[in-house]
Amino acid sequence: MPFVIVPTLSLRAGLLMSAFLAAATIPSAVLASLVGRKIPPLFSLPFYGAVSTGCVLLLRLCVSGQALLLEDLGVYVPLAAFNGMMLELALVHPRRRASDALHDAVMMCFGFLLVAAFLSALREFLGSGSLWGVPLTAPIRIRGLVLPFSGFILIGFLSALFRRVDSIIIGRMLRASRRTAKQGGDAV
Amino acid sequence: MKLRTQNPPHIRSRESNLTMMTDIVIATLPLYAMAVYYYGTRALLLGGFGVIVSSLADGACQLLAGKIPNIRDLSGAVTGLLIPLLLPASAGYSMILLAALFGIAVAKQPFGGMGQNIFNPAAAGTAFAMICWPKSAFAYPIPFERLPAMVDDTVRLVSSPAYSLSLGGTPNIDLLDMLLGNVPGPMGGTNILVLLTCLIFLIVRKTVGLAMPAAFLGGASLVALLTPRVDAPALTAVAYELMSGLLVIGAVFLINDPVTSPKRTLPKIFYGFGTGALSVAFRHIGRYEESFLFALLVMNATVWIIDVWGEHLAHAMRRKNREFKTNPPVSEPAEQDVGAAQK
Repeated sequence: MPFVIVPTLSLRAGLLMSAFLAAATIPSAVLASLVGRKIPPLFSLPFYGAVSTGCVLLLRLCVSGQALLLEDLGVYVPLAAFNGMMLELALVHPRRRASDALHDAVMMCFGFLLVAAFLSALREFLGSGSLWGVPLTAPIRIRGLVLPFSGFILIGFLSALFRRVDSIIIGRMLRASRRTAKQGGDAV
Repeated sequence: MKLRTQNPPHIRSRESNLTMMTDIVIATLPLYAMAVYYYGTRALLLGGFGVIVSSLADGACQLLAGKIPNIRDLSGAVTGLLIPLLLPASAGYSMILLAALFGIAVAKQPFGGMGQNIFNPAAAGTAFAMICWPKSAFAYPIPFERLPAMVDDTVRLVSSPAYSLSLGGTPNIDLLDMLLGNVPGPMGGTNILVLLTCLIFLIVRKTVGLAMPAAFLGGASLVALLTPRVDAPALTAVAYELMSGLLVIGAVFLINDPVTSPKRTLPKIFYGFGTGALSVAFRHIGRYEESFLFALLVMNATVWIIDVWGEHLAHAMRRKNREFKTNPPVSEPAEQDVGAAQK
């Protein structure tokens, strides 16, 4: 959660953070499914650490021109590498097929990207009065949104919203299945 | 013998949420009257706007939570009335709107609504508004300058005595003027005499007690006495500290919130003293010239542990009292005159 809240004060920072997390997570997940079972437990920590760190460093070299953005992300870039490593270490049974592992990792990173993009866009637009660095006239400027506690509050409201939407969808599905079961019973 | 059945509760008190909130609403009316006297009808517009936004937000949040909206308990209205009093009379409507929405939708309803909130909604909302608009929240109009309904750049805004104190200077204002409210400051926070009258009214009505406000002002005075910020006699420095900012209005309306304060008397005293001391301490190290709201929110978060401590203390005292009654100390028998007894 700190990854999606603290450094995502602008849309560009949010997307870059998502890219770093994807760089740390996806290769580690695929490698874990391919060779994870063959690596002795003693060597899994350095192995996953090397893979995550290497991928993050590679991406950092590619975006080394964005010095200001990288400065905004600060310590969260190496933390992204650490996160990728810990995620694979926590998986007791990695996926047997590389395609499943890739699917899992991509969907996880995509979910992070969606939340990070939404949060960072909202905080940049309403908090800083710009979007993607382009100054815009927001209907109201809420400078408190750039503070971390506002990010936590926004995440809380987003979670509540998704739970509400989820419960509505599940409720409709339950009602539909009950209707179907009732019709089937009537037919019998 | 004729038995009559009756539905509970069998012991009824005249006091209820509605009566308490009504008392607080009545207590804010003199402050609004003084604000209208100093700044014009804009004060009333801000108060009315705050009440409408808070009440609607309260009802909407209750609807979203699947409850039947109950805005007749006036808790939302009290929040809406208090927020403009904590801000300048020149505060924008967007500031009041955001403060009310934050106080109700973030600090009150997610925790369960009326009676279950941890943080004081008015304090939380106003603190958030101060963070979002630090320049507007601490720039005050001059008393007796009538403000238009929509404030623009032509309105002259100045700093308050609290700002002078934060810079280490002595405010160039007479203490009597500070007592009467003839100083730039929060809309409801400058009229010290009226505030003290409101406190007396609330105490007489038994809506609030004396313990917490007294402990609060005592704690604030002690820290102000030990660490004066002005080069003046000790009592003068304390008077400047107490009469500037939101300390007195906080002592009357915010610290006495029955939901966010402890339940027993000794914990209340501890809580009040701690809040007062922390408020003045924050003035020394805080970023803003007025830090009472942040100190209050910090102490709100500790009320649960203060209550636990208070219960343990109450049980220990009851145990000691029971032991004392069942085994009272026996006094040593007087020396008997053996010779007299034998005779």
